[in-house]
Amino acid sequence: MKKTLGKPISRRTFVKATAGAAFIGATGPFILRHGLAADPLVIGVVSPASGNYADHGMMERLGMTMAVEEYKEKGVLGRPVKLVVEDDETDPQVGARKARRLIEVDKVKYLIGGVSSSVAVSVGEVAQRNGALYIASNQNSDTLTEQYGRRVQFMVPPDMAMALRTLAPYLVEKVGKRWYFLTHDYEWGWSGTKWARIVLQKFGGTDLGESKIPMNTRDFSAFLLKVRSAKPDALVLTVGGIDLAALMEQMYEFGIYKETTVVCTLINFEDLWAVGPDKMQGIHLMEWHHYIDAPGVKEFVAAYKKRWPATVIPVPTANTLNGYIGVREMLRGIERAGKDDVTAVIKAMEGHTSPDSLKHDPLTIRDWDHKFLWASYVVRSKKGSEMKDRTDFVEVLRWSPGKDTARTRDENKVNLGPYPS
Amino acid sequence: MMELLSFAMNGLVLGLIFAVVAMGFTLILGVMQVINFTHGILFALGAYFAFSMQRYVGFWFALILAPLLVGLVGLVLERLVIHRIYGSNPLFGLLVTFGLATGLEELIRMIWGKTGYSVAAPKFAAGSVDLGFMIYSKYRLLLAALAILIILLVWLFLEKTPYGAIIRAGASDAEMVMALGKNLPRMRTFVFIIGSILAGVGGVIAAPLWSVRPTMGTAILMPAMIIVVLGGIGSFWGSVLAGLIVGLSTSISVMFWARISDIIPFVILIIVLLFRPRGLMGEKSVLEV
Amino acid sequence: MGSAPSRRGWAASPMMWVLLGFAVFPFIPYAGRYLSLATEVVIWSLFALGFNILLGYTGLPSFGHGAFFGIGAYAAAITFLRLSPGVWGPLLAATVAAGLSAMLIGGLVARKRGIYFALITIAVSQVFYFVAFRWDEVTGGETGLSGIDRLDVGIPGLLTLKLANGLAYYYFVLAIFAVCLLLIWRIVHSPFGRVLQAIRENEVRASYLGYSTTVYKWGAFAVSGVFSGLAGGLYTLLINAAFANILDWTQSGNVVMMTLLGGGTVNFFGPILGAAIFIVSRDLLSAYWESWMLAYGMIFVLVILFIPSGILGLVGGKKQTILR
Repeated sequence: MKKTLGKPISRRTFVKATAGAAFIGATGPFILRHGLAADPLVIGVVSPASGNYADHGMMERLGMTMAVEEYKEKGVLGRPVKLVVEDDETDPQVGARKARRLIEVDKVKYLIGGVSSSVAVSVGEVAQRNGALYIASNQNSDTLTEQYGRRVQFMVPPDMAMALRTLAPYLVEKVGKRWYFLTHDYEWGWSGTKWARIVLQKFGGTDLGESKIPMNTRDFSAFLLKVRSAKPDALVLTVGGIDLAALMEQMYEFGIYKETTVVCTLINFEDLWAVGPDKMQGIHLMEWHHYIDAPGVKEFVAAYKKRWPATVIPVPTANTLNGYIGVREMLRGIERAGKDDVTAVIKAMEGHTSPDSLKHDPLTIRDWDHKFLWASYVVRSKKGSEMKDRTDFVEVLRWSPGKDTARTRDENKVNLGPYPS
Repeated sequence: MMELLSFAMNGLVLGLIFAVVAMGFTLILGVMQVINFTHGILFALGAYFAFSMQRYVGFWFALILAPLLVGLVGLVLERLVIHRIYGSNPLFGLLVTFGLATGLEELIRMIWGKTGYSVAAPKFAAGSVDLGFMIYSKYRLLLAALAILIILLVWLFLEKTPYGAIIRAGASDAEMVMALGKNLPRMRTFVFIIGSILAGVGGVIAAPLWSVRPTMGTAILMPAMIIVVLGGIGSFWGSVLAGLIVGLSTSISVMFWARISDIIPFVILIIVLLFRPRGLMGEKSVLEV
Repeated sequence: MGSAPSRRGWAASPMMWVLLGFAVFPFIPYAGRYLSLATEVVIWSLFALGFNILLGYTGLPSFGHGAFFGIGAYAAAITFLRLSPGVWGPLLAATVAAGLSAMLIGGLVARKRGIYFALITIAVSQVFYFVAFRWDEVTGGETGLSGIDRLDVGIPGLLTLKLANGLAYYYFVLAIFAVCLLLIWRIVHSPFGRVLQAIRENEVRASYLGYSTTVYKWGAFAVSGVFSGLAGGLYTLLINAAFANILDWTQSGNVVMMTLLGGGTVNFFGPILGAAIFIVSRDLLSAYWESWMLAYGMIFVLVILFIPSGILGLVGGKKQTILR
């Protein structure tokens, strides 16, 4: 058994060395990150840079940086604004750890970011327990303003209720009343199908059935065969992430696009960019598109192109917009509050309306559920031949104001809880 | 009944893709006793190379060139890193290939970016064909044909060529090969290259189905591992048979209860191992010492 | 390895130094702020130490121990939310659930060795991962279970420790860690532990000596599972939640890496060092570089290639690895 130990090390040296390394390891980065300069206002970003949503995360961070840079000259409350970015790896456990570190070590009080709703749940929990503000910038789950609604948390993007109540009436009018559903088998997927069914029933349509698609499904042919035998007017799918890309490839492969109208209840530019126009024909719901004719949009797109001339995606996406607006509204809230205090900022944000939403309706931050209320857009995806450039994927058909489509107080009995003390 | 048939066909096609990938994995495992975690990323690289090439050379040339490039990557990995851990604790092989796979996934993100891409199926194979009892995707039939062809080619190589016989021997007892005077290190490098090429081929033919993403390799790795153990480590036909079983069971279980379809292959594996600890067609090998 | 108190007395034993180091950590300026990270280090050290009973001492390369950590984590979460909110209840549930699962699975895998052992442990742990991921009703599925508070512990009337406070919880975890550290030391230095090492050196010979090696391997598997589960339960209380990603095979890979990195195959304390370095550097690395995974992967490779017996193996002057 002796051979397993080897020469005994000097314990003192070992302890000293470890302590020294730990000290340098801890203080060095702290100094590097915050500098010894004037006390900046730090915003912690917890966003995916790896994992399945890395591309969405990248786009939202570009928008956040643009917002912070608008305050470069004057600062906020006389202080420079700084973004500290952490990778949540699209993993709730990692996201929570990063959030905790930002709060404990970097003393950050303002957090923003994320694409995965489950990460938002865990980050929001950390924020709540520590009295920090958290803006969920790119998640779409209804639960973030309901079961997981929190006084410290705000939700930027439209949720599934808003999305479907914008989209479904259009479908009923213009596409048909016999629908089949493909539901990604987790909370977000279920909520999309749920709201779609509610609207369908209201208009007296026919529910032809549903297929629940487990996450990380590679092969959809089994489901597509069921779709084919149902012969719906509209195939309403609430599927996201990498599964959506594979599904689109396979729908194209099976010629589903010719047999029915494919409808994505929420689609992102990043998804369209990945698969190309042939493979996402249909009517979809988008949160925003860079070619809509709302005030300020052209300038925003130009500013994006100037600031990020070399990015893979040459135009801002809804993720970019949400990141930008999320940071901007947070900073404006801090300014209105007049002090660096989370409760004051929350109160300053609640009920506020910003006309410059870069959408057709002004942005309102609702007080009782902290939902950002603004429009969603029904779009038709263009054929390759109709596109005037390689980003011109869709034609906007209709939009609905956020105020009209969001859940009412009767429909959502959330109690956000007390303000942080 | 018709529905069952369609599900079964899907399962077979899926199984064929799995079999092609698992074949490479089982050879590497059998000959070098390395659990090759880079197999998933090599699969992804096949898809990425095909994507980058396709607009210049078209589908068919990409089908041949992209896997060869992946084989080159495999060669580099083997010579630079992997050969150093042959013969040591299996964990080292796992961890080293795991580290390589993680690093390579990030490298893919750095080179090709974080967005997804699409690989087009060849024009003549687009759309569906009416088989009488069902309408099926043309591309999938093409894919099945390609996979069967590849399986046959590999089988021919292993069965009918002298070098193939040596590799088959090496899959159960590598040291015996050395005792017979053959160059073991070179054989191992060769096997790794072949395995990489097979993974790359899998990636190319699966790309039009599954879309190209940095994380696409992880979806093939776990099935490959199950298939290899189920079929018997080092066994060629074992991996083909097990690949088909896994593909079929996954597809058919979707018909009944989609949620557990991912777990079914594991359950089958555990049951089989209880009765046949070496897998369906495994033989006693040096791995058990 | 010798017995615990060396001839120079307790003050000089590495165990004292380790515990002392952890105890004073929160008071180090700047570094002491990383409190929850430090708590994680202690928890993972516990996990890795327990795991090392199997890896370093028995020589069995389990690549699926994340499953027991995860089972412990979920058992604690479910107990808290559905059965008995508290501290000891969930922790007990975590330990028992993981221990029982380890006993069950150990029975399946104890006969195997080497590659087969590794592969089967990966497969089994993936089953648990999928179950956690898909059984929404029980495990919360993709979203996991959250809202698990840390309540108070103590003797009513005499002493209460409010675990919701990060510092209090750190010391609570450290205390449990200290007890387990002693326990594990005792286990590996007991006759049972010596048989495990004999099995590691040469299983056939050990069986010729009359030991039922399968039973011993099974025992090692079960015991390591118990400590893994306890660590999982403590982790749930730390992050106030349980998520399915904890059961992913990459977590199992992480604990193997930690154990090897620190030198678990040559030194009892190796896993602790490995856990500390692994967690801290991974955290800092990802904060600095968006493409941190590249460096992370390369470090894995470099460590395995050049310091396979880990850091303590290097410092000890011997590069040989004892695992074959």
